[in-house]
Amino acid sequence: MPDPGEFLGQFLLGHTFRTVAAGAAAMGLISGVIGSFAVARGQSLMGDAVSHATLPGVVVAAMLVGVREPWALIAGASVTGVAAAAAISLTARSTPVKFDSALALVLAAAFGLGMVLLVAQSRGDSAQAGLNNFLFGQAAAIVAADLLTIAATAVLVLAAVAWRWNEFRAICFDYEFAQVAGVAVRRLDLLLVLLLVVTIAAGLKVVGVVLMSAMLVAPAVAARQWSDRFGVVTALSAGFGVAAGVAGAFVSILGPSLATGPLVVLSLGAIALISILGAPRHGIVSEFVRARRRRSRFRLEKTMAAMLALEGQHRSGQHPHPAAAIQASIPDLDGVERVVLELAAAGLAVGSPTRGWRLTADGAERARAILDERNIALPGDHR
Amino acid sequence: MNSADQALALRISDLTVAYDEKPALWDLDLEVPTGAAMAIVGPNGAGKSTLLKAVLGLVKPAAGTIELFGAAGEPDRRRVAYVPQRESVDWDFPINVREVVLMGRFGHLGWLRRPGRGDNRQALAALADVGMSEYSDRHIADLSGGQQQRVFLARALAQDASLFILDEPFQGIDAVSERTIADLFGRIQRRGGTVLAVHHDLGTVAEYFDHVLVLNVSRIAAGTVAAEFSNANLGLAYGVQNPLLADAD
Repeated sequence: MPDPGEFLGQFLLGHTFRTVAAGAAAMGLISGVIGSFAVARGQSLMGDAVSHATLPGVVVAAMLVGVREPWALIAGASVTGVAAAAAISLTARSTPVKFDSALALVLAAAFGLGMVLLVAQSRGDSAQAGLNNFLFGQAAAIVAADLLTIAATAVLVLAAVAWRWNEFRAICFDYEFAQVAGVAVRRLDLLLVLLLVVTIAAGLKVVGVVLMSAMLVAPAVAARQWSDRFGVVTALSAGFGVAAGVAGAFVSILGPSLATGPLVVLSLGAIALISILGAPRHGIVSEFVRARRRRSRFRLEKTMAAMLALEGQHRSGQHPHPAAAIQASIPDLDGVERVVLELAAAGLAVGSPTRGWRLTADGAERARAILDERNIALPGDHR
Repeated sequence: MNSADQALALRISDLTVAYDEKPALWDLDLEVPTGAAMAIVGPNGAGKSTLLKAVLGLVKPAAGTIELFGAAGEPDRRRVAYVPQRESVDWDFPINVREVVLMGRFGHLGWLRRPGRGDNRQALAALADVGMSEYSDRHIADLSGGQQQRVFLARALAQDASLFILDEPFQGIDAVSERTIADLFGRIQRRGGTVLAVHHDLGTVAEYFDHVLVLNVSRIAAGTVAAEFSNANLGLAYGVQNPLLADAD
């Protein structure tokens, strides 16, 4: 019986794992970068349509050249992917059909065509049934040639993004301004679509046409929660993609029938979920905590102001009032009894449920400051 | 000074723009002298934004010519700065104030396509001009409407342009921003720049502008505010007796 730690160590150092992990990480990297553009532009679904539309191209390329030629498959995928993107844009721009409808239409039609071709040709030659892997990917079957293809694509995509970074960002943010400012918007827009298509085509072997859109959308959405700057969002998105790629590859070697591609996508889903919940500025949890704090501060302030108003009605001042009396003066705010206890705990009020409550000197000063700040005059206050 | 000798920032001849059957602009002639601040006024659907977009090259005219800075042929639009309507921008986009203003330097970038130190300096100076220096690291969604408008004006200033085209710059903004933008018009004019803006508030035309185009698909009147901003011309454009009085209160 081999030591499980040693077994795992051998596996991690093993050639297969390294190939799969490197392929998944490189795909995570570029789909994170390209995805951040698509998401910032509000075109998350474009990637989904394009990736489904690559299927007929892949199948035809495999029929013509063979399934073992990664470049041919990417070329085939790119042809139908670009055609789909063009069909969607043209339909949305020059017919009354809206963008989302055009997208759904093209996605389903192209995928349908791909399935017809796939089924037809795998009947003819069962040796090429490996094409099924393009539906959900088969990262475990990545070989050196695939890795080389993915790496080359990654270099190409990253170089193009670095070269025209500012223009790409401008196009996504404010298309008309970019056009007026002399950016070659149409050409660069087309280049951005091409980069999207090439990224998708290269990633098909890893995650397949069905799950590819998650590779584009999830890291970018996750990254957006952590930063308000596009450069940081893109870098984070790329980092999340790499992390998920490695994580997916690692988890998949722990069991005999764990599919790498879906595990990568699952990891990305987890990262996105954690980000949406827990990010410091935009996360749901921090938003909830901030809202709670805001509400409780207003409750304290409003109660203090009411107590100050009540105390002002007595010449002597510093006269305690029962919680019920304070409550009666601010009927729209419930639970005053609890609020005065909080005030007492903070040293801003003194008293007891039986004797009633009054503001401390500190509390009265704070209450006046609050009223001043909000420009509210107390009844009978003629300062 | 003889105004006929003054160079023109913009000359439009016989401009017709049509989106579908109905023309948005019909046979428009317009001359905007260098150094003018011209308001474009007219009712909804008068073609005001369309005119701006035609000058910017964003829509293709069906007929007519547009000459910028006295040069015929394809105009050099790098000397034109554009401040779009506030609603046309995606305010959720992850970008901060300084980055937006730096975009104004795009026409001036070298072959490495990276803004340099000089570009940065110019962007910060433009931010100071609109009184927004302390907001340079803020996300654009954290600003008020008026502050957002000032940031976009700063982007236009950073562009070092000669003609500033603005689509309703005073729409829905606070008093401080309104004052800042109006002051900037004066400074642009003193530097020899020209301002062309769609403007809705007829009550402030005379205060912020010295020239006016009264538009309703075709030109009703154009010239100095003193000569052409009259009830008669406005009545023709808006189709009511006394739009200036109707507009006030």
